[in-house]
Amino acid sequence: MLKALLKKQLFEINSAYFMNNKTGKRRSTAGTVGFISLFAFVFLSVAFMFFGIGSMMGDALINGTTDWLFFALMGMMSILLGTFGSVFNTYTSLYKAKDNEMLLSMPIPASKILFVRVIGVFLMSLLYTTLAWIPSSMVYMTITGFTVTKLAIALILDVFITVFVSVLTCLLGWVVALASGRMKNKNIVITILSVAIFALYYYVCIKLNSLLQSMLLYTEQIGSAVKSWIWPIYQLGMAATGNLVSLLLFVGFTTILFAVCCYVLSRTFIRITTSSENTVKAVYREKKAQMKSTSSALLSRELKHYASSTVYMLNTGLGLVILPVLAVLAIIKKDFLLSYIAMIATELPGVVALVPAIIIAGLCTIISTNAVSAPSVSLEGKNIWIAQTLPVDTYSVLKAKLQLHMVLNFIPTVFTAIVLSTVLGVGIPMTVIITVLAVIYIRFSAEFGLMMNLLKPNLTWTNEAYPVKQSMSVFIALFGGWFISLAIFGACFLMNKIMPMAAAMCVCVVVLAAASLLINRWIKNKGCEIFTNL
Amino acid sequence: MLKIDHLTKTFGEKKAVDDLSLHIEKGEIYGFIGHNGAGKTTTLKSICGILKFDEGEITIDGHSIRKEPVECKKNIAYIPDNPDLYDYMTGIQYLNFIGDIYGVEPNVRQERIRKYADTFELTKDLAQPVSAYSHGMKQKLAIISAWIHEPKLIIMDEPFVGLDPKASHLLKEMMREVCDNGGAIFFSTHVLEVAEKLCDKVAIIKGGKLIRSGTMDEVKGDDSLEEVFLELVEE
Repeated sequence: MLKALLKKQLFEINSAYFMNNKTGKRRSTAGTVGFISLFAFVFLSVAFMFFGIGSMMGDALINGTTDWLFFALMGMMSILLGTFGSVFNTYTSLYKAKDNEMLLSMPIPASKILFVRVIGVFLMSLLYTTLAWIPSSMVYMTITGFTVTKLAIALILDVFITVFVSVLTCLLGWVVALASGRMKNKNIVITILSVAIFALYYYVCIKLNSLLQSMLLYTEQIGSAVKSWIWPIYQLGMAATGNLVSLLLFVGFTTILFAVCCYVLSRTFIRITTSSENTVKAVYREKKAQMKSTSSALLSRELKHYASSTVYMLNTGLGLVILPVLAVLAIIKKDFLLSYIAMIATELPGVVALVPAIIIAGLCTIISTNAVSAPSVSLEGKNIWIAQTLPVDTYSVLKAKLQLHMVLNFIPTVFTAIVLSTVLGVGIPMTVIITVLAVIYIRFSAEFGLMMNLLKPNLTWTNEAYPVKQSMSVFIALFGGWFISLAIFGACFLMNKIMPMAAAMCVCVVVLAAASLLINRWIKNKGCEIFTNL
Repeated sequence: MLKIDHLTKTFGEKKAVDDLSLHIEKGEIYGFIGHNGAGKTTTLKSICGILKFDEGEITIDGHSIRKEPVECKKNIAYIPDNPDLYDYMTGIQYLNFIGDIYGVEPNVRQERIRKYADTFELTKDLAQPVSAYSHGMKQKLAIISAWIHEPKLIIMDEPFVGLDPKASHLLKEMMREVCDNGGAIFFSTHVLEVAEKLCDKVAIIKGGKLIRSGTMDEVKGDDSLEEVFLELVEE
């Protein structure tokens, strides 16, 4: 029985390589090879990055006395990477698997079902922890010499670090499961938490180099802190250097922790798995109905859909958070920015004239990441029949999607454009031009994204993540937008050689507005025809 | 009310509907029966403007669905066989959305929602998201959303699937009421007993072609509708 369950779980995990999750159809051989190759390429690239980090740290720490600290720090990175990589999927894998109810109705103990799910989490986490741990072990063996014992210890510890990570992510998933049953506005909470985690992740990425440098400066203090406060990590570090007692202690600790975790989870597994998502039952109270116009009703529908989908918000809305943060940072770091520009201007005098172009290119790049309209047609999915049978012209339905894009982007963009322009002292006329150009760009990106989705729709998805994260329309809208942002900068740069920057940017306003109008005309004619026939 | 003239729709090499003509007058409950894959859903979707058909014409109250789709849709309501509604809305939000689109006045809308939600015992669930509804509840919500704007023509694709016996009975009464008030209903069903008792007229489709249509007495004579249907389909 356990063997059958494990086989099924392995098939589920590997199905992405052989099945196209967008269409539900089997991939061709070429498709499978391509997908696996792409995956291997990304895997090796990240592993190479960790090899680089490990080399930098290894040069300072691998000296016969602080070798354990090298492994302790790399071990913590593996644990963070493993936890971050798999935490978002753990809750869904454990408690929201589609066949949970079917399996529970069979003569299979719930503990076995849970165990198999946890194995699935383990295998997912193993990928992430290996990315950091094996390269660090390779760095160690490069410096100290290769032995079979060192390799064996590295592999054993890779497994048991993953066990530790699995415990962390399963417990986090369990906490999320317990909390979500009591939460009213789950999606908003999850989105806020996810944004916070992403912000922390990006902060660490940006500060990685300086963090690593600090770690190398204060090795004694860090080492003493690890020994005193994070006993398992200390044992991990010691085990990796060949200390067999520490190896046994670490293995024993993680095994006991895993057993306790499985016991705790199994006590609540059936209850959580079979409870309704909406345990907080809203009570209906008749309210006086308010009349909305057709366009308001359609926009309201789009807003509700957006706010209800964490995937949609996170993948098309991070820029909406970055924009105001950028504005606030610019205010705080005003002196630094101005002195930095002044410093560059001593080497490149022309850079001052390019500041407006840099501002607009930066704004347009961030706006491009807010590709709200790009998956909006695909997201109609199996509900499209409703929009197609309503007594409204098709363009009204599509216009609501454009309006959603505009409404979400407008205020953050205008605020940031004005603040950046003011902080960098470009003057009021230029501030107005930058703001107008940014707003025109929002309109252009809305039209462009919608056009791409009408040309490349996908209504047969089984998970909202596919049209939002993996569709061609989003890919083109995102990268096309970045290319156009760069083109705007390039055009301003070149035109500035023969005209003032203000005039150059006005030309960009006109060109973008014209492009936007042309695309809008296409949407009104061909686009509406496509939508009607979807 | 509804005129279908020489409707033809092809998918690739297959003719899903082949030269189908049908007229439905005001006050008629018109049943549409056929085997799986006969072309019923294709026909219904073509009437509602969801599917673009290759040949023929469909007019609703004198307006062509091809040339005046919005005008036609103002007078019809469609309930598909599998009512995929907006999971991210609550029941009441969905009904208000439909009310807004069809321009149903707030006080009239409120009264109708109250009436039909009480009829189907769905009132206490109107504040729940549609994602929490069972299939039957979604079906009831789709029916209420069709009725709140009092369309002249209601198109339904297997409306009784998923409904409990009480709800089925209530729906039949509501259908009769619509037609008694001058509306018309065109629906497909596999439940021939229901069609036999409820419908004023019936059309039988096989392989995309209309093989028999007319009043219930004309179509079935002294036999049961089931016997006639099986005989025709086997020919």
